[in-house]
Amino acid sequence: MIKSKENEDSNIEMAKNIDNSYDIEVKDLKKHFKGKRKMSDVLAVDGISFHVEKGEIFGLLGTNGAGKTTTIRILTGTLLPTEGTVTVGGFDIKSEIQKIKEMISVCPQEPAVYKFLSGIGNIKFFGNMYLLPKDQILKRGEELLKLLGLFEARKRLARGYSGGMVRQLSLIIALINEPDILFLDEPTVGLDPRNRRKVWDFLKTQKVENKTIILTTHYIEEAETLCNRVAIMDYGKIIAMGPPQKLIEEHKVKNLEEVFMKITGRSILEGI
Amino acid sequence: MKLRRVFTVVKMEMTRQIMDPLVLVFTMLLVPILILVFGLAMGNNYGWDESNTYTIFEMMLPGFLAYAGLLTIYDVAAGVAGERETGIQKRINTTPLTTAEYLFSQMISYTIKPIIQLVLGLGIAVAVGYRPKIFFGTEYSIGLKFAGCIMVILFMVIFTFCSVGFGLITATLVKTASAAGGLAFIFIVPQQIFGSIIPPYILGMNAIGWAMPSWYAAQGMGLLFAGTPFTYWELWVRFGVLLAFSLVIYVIGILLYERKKRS
Repeated sequence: MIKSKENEDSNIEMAKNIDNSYDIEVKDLKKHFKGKRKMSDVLAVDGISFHVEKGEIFGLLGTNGAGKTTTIRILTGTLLPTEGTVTVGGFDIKSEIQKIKEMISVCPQEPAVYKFLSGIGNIKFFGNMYLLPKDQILKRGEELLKLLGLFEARKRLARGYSGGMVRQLSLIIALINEPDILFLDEPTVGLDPRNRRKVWDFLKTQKVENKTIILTTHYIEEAETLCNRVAIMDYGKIIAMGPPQKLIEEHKVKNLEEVFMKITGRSILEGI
Repeated sequence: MKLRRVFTVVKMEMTRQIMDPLVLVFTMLLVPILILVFGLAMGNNYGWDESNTYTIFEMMLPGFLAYAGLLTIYDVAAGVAGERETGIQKRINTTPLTTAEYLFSQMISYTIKPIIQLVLGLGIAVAVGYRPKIFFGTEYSIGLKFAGCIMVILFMVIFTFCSVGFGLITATLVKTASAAGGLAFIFIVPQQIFGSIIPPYILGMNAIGWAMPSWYAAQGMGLLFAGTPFTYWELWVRFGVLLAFSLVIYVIGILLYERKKRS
């Protein structure tokens, strides 16, 4: 009888493990960068676990070097984890990366666009990587260019764009394939308040369309406005996780920055 | 493998080269200009041994042409490292573009330039009076001339693949495009000196040249220009060794690139 109960528990545990309602599931993730000397070894991500539900905007908050970008790089397949398991869209990050790449898109921290291509040239290049129909690339591209105010500059080479324009183009590229899961690594850094607001409004529409978004940011207001839940990272660990409002209430403070300060004794904006 | 992705990357690579005139001039016109200068200066110079059948220019020409393939090392190393430096490589790695598609596109885009240089270089050599027997020899049939022409292109293509491999290896060893450009010359200079440009009659050079892929490319093309029919066994030995070199270097390049991709 006891044995049967154990089996039942084990089945429940297994069922949890293969639960597909999560778009992203991270368990005991560690990333260790080995330096040339032992002193320079870095444990960038230290055993974090979290999940992201379908249609959720999930924020990763933390100071520079907290491990946010490393986490995003592992989730998007450009970095292998040292330990732990990660599934994205139900696929394992180590063995099924190609399937994951078909359904995700990434807006990296660096404004990674081809400077010698025009705005529309960059959009077409990345649209072709996803084998989207050509008319769809143009239609979607033009919609996004108009939405983010780059339509007039679409034929200009990206090397002539301002820093803010390159960032916006980078975001448009990330959205061209209408991904199920979107990774945004500090997407509004370098944007003026008006354009930042435009991006926020756009991301809110994505929330309505049931897209899953993982967002890293330094901007407290951004996290509070957009995210359903946030994970606050510090030195590679998650030190707090939950809906922004709930975290604020739990810690009896005014905003997420104060939550961070209350837990770590430091400001989240340190080192920026 | 999706050809649409491959040709999108090829188109982008060609645009990159066209949009950077300095690089274009350096990599596209350097070899034809060298051939023009040496052709005019040494087209009638038989060196210190008057019994030589060939002029110094005739002996150096295959090496100059192989040099066009050698410059690919610099192009690939600087291009790949540059993309990594700007973060665009990381971004590409998050798209469905596979390693095989990416590397195939690199092979195509970086082979086009040496072939253009080969045609331009040979055209200039003919303009300054050089007459490769495989194309101009009256004793050869049209079929044999055509086969010889294909063989010259094949030597160039296989040698360029080898250089793409060297370029990938270089790009994985450094972090910036400028460092990659500098390091590329470690692979370029020995091949340039011992394997291509120095005429083979200088004592002792051939032995060192055997370790250089460029030697097999230059010597293979040289044999063809001198009128060796494509069926000649020595030609195929050189082709075989060059092919083996290229495969080994290319595979090492791919393995290192793949390792770097997720680290």
